[in-house]
Amino acid sequence: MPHIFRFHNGTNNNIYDWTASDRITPGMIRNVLDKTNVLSSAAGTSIPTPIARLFLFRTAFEIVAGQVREQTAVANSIYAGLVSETLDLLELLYQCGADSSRFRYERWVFENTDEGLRRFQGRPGHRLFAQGLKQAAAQAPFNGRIDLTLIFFRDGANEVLLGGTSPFTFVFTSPNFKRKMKLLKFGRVSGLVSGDVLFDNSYLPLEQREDAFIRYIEGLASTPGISASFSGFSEYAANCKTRFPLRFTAQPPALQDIRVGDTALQVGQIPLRQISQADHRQRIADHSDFKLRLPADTHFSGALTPLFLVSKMTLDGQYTSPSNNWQPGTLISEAAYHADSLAEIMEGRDLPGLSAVRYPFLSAFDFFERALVRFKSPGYQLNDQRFVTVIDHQTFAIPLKPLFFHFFPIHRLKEYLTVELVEGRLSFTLRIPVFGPTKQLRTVVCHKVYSDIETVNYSGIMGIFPFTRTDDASLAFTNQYTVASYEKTNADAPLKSLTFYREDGLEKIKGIPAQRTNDTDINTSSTYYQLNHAFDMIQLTFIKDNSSASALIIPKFQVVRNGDATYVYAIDFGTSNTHIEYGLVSDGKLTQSQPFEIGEEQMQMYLLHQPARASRFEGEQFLDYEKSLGGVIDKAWQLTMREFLPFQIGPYAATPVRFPFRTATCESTAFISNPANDRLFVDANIGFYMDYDPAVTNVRYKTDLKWLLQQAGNDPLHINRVKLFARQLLLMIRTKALLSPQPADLQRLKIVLSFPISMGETLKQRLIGLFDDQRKEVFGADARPLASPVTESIAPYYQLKSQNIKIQNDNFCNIDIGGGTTDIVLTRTEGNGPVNELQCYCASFRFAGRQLWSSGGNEYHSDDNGIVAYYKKFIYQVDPAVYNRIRHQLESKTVKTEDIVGYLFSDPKFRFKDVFSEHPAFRVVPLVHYAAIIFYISRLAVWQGIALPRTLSFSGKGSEYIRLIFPDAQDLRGFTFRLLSIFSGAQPRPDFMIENVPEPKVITAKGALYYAVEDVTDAPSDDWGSGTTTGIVSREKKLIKNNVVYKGFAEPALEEKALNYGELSTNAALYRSLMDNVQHFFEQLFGQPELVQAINKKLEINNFGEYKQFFLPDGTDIYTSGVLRDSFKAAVLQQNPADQISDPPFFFALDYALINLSKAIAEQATL
Amino acid sequence: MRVFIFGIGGTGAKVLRSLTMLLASGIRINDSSDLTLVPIIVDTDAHNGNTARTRDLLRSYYTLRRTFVGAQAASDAPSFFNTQLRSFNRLDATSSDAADLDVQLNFQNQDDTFANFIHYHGLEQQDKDVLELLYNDSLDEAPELHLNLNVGFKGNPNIGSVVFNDLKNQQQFKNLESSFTATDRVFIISSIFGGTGASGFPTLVKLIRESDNANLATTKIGAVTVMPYFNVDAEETSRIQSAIFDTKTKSALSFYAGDQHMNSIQAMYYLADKDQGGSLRNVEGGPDQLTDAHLVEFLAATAIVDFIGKKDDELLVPQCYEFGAESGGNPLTIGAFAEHTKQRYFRPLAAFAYAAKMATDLIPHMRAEAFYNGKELNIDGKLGVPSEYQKLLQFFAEFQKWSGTEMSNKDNGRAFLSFYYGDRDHLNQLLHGKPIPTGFFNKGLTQAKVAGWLTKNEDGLPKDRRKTEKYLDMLYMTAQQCLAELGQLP
Repeated sequence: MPHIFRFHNGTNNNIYDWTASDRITPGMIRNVLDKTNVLSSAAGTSIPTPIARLFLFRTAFEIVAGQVREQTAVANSIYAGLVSETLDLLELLYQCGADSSRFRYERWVFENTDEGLRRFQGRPGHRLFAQGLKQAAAQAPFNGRIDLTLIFFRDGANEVLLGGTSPFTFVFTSPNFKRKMKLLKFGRVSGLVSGDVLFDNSYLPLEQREDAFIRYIEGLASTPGISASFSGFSEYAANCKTRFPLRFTAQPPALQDIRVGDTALQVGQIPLRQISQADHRQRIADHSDFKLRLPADTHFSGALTPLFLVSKMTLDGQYTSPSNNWQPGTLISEAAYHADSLAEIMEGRDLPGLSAVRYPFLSAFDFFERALVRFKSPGYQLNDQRFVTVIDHQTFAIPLKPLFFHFFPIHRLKEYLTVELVEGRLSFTLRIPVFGPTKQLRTVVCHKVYSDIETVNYSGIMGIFPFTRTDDASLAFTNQYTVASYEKTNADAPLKSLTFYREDGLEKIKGIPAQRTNDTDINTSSTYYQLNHAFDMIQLTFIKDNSSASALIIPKFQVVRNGDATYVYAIDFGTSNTHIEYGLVSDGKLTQSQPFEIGEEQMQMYLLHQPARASRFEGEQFLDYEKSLGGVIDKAWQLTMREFLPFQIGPYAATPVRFPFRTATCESTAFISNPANDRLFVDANIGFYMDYDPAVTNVRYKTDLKWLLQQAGNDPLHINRVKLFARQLLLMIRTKALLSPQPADLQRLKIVLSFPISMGETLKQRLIGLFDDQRKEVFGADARPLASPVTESIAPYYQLKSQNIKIQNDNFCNIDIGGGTTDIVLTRTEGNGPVNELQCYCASFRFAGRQLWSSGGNEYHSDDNGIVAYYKKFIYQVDPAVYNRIRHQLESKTVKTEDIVGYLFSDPKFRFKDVFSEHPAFRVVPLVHYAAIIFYISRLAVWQGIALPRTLSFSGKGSEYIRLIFPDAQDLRGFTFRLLSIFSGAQPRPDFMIENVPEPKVITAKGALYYAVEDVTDAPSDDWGSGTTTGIVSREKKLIKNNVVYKGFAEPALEEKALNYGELSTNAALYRSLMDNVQHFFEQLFGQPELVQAINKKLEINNFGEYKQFFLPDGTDIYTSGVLRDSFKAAVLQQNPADQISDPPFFFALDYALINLSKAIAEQATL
Repeated sequence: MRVFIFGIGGTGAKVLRSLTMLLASGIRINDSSDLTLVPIIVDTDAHNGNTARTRDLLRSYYTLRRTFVGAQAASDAPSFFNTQLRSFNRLDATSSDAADLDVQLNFQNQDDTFANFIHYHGLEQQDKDVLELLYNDSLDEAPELHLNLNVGFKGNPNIGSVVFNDLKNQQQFKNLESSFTATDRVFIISSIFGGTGASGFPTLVKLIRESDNANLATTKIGAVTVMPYFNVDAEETSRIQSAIFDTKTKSALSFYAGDQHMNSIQAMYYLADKDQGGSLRNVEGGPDQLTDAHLVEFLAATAIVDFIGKKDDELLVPQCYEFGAESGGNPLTIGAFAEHTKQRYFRPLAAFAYAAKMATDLIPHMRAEAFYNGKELNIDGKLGVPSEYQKLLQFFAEFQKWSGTEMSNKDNGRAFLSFYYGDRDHLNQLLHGKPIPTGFFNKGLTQAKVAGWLTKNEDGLPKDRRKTEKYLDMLYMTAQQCLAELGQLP
């Protein structure tokens, strides 16, 4: 056996010396073992042609194909490496070749023609290179033309030249890409099978690759008409199939073109393609063991169920295909995915551990927020009655992203999320169920513990109004909200924004934020978000270390529906105070009338915090919403009360607010700067807190809303005030009606307003219009219009009648004293009218609370009111603590004097009433006020020929002063009886009585209720028109109102004339007649010694009679001088001379006179 | 008959060295009396130690032949140094033969990077991209694009295949091309696993086949492509990694199989000796790349002889050849080769070995012999040509080193034990495996016996011949007597 000095495994073995033998073919060297498995990319240079690498790869396929056939394949040989690298590149193209973010292609053609060579003619070196190419191009299969496509691979902004196409092996790789990928820090490029890293030194033969890809390569290699140049490649694939037939049985993949410009990527007319996205995804969907198992009521409805994967997850199972299992060490970088939206996720994410395999998946960081939001203030816990919590006493917002709830409904939260305290830290655990064909149902457990630097301390609080929610389509318009946000402006991590989501975790509800205040002294700001649609979650976003951190608050709204109960609400929109009474109508009858209240059970607004259960000294239990806020955000309670709305209203300890309340708005500083500032809560709200607000600076309360539009009817600022006042009231009514145990039918809910007779029709209609506009918005355009308004003064009739029907058979008089007007109604039983009608005479005059409690012409100068001036000294002396507490209010130059008085009356601790016991002479002032009204009624009755009333009642907040001077009802009756007798010259009925009305302000509203209900009774289909009655079957008598203006002339003849105010200034006779009547009044009041004596006694006044001198000084011509004359003139000047007289000028002389009297008394008073 | 022998790269040079030794041994290559060999060393690494050594050896041969044989001596004469060499630069028969032999093609001193050579930076971006796709463009990790060509191609035929195209532009090549005749032949020596040879070989074939001179384009080409036969020390930073020799060989062989020009080579000699142990010092190039001779290089040189010895009609159809010995083994000895091999190649070499041993070790001690004295050869007077005499002794010494030391180096992988020059006073052990039998009556090739033969042979030579020629003839004749004494080769 000779020893042959040969390299290959030749077949001719009979060789001695130099002997002719066989030419070496690739087949002869297939089985020559390589001595190394490294440098695979650098090994392509041993062939003497510039395109040596292409040949190297061809050789590799030829050699390995033979090895496979003969079962001598060496797994780690260099040729196995080259084959593997080729397959790696084909696999990567197959995965994502069409992804332009990953790949770029460039076609390069060398033509062995003059034209082709021309571009290389510039330099000798270029020509030599071209010569080398020319030599290569001359060979088969190029046939004079080398046509390659360069394949560039991208990772983010970086790009490397990965390889090119080849007419031998479809593709080949560059010798440089690995080095450059490493240099540019490219991520690991993963293959389709478990843990395979493409282009690494662990080679993977075809049969060990992913099933569908194997079929793709098989198809590629056996393309009909394929060039012989691919023979090595084709043989390799064919031999693999022969050796491993079972690996070639998968369903061939659906493919899509890889575009290079206008054409498809192809090699020798054979397109290189990638698996179609749809096919690939469907295969993953079919095979993965990590698909989310979603509950039946999930919001998710995508065609592909996302996977759930966690970084370094230890669960095993099929990942994307039967040949690709999840690798437990696989890292998932949050940075690479964290901002993805659902749409982006469903479009497909690059699956972790793989390269450019796109399929929707979610990870823990898609659900967990990056930071934990904790309530900073001690004692501040989430109100678990009204907000979703996961543990008791929860002091944090839910650290989940809204997206979580797209997959898992809110009500199932506790099935998935648990919290426990581990070593002093909150440990959150999500248990996400996954399933798949080989592992069935399992749970992926994700823990999250937030470190201190991952914790945001929330130094604010939010409130929501109304805290209701309806799924009733007819009430959809009620799902409109204001969300208040109170924030400490010196917080470490400021709140950046609130975002509102629907329960599906995707749909955002637009919430328009507007900052209202930024109180630097208390480091607190308020912002209000207005939303026009229902929402289910609030995402709080903070700025923490220059990046944002969020958390969720999930309200548990009180679900409401449109009920079938009929309610009537009566609004007494008074000058000083407003009251609402409401009642349920059953069988056409008002079952009960009660003041508007908001109790613990039907709260309309909630802040986040859990109120503390407290008790008062009486033992009454109540929820304290103030103390439980904790010290850090304690001012939030005050802001809520001031700018938003009270937690509760009524006789509850939670808040001091109850109805009737001061008619006022609380306005932002920006409110008056722009007429467009008409946003409830953002710009202004009802000033419920006015009488209790310790702050007077920077807080603007506005009173006298009722009459604002009289002076400037089109002033948008005033319109906004009334509008917002009305809107909030109506919103509160609506919410209360829906939250009632017997929910209201909003369509049938009736609202009635009352107005004084003295109010001009224009103003009245204006106010009605403003209320009705708001009614449409708050209750819907289909709801009932406002009921026809009831006259304030006749409203009490209905209330009294409801208690005592007999009053409709007697003459009845009600005196309704408000802040600005006094309305009277006087019924007439004489004569023959319809049986169910009762004629009444109504009069209204602007002689009311203002004439007692204001400061006259200088309305902000409280010292001009003697009673107030005296009180200041008094309280300073007897109770300096109270003085100091209210000093700001007392000294305010921006609060009207009558508003100061209202405030002083609001709290017994202020001891305002003590002024009258301390210095009884002050009682003269209200006494004269009351007497003047009785004088007017008496003269009206005489003039109209009506009998004096048998029953007298009082209503209106202003009438409360009567009880101040006559605490004893019998004294009041006796005094009134005497006055009626003196002023009318006739004797009242012996059974004359005064109705005992404990809350005179309430009676108007109550009466209005009954008034409105009767309308319902009488005319079920009534459109709330005039209220005239037809087809009556009731025995009850309805008032038929005759408005009269008894002007107060001494000569009755003058009463019949139509006059305007200007004539009072120009016509001396008219003036004198009025002054004469005023003189009569005083002379009669002071001219009865018995009466004066009784007054002295009962009212503890030294000498009531001497006060006559103040009004009618001896030797003075009252027509030309004196307090009465001055008052009269000033009052006349306030009227429009051209206007018809509707406000009785009798009272003009008394307009400022009583204020001046108080001042005179105060000046003489000593402490 | 002229044969242009291109020795490309380091292996080409080393094979030429072996060929020179064969020629010096007086091998009769063919029946032609006017055989002229034109050795051409092609290497961009002008300072390569192997190349320089061969160049110097060829020049010595040329000088020695002129001094000791006579320039016009026939190539078939029974003599050492019988074959005529000519410089490719002086092919014209009328040109002076006095100058040194010029054997190195002026295709060298490319002291620039490949990138600069092809003016890479002036290329369009897309062409640059293609170069990045095809060439390693690192600066310090097996560079290709930025390889400095002054050390050859370092195993990168893909570079050489471009650079070698420049050969066509060399004036020397153009001269050669223009003077090529129909009876001339070409032989190309290269290694397939390196850089220079592997790339120069096919490019040279292409240039020949595409020559405008039809004589050259259609000439008979013989070529030996030497495949892996040694290892070098594995050095991580070296661009020469013998571990990859096999891989590169396989790639190149696959390429050759599909190349039409390569397939047109009339006599393609394959030679390899793979899977042997040992490794040589890893030197990437330059003067330090001076490696010991290897049996395979010698065998490659025999391929040249074999090719030249073939008649034209034996070369009509391209044919490949392989070489076989009777047996393998390591170390290998002359006895392992086939008889034809022994007779054709080793027998002349053995003669030259005897001559070398005599000239360098024995004769200096034969001052008493007649041929030694001043009247005869005047050995002490260095034959009257001290420089040439010294050169001859150096040649013999070089031969002894080549055959006795270098090829037996076990680091070669396969050591070849041929001749032993250690004995001072006899030549009985000169051939490995074939000691000359000695006995009581026969002491073999003793110094005395050899001295007798030398004296007698010298005395028998024509008196008018130059001392130098007589000296070499004396050695040649005595060496033949030694061979006769030896009898058959082992």
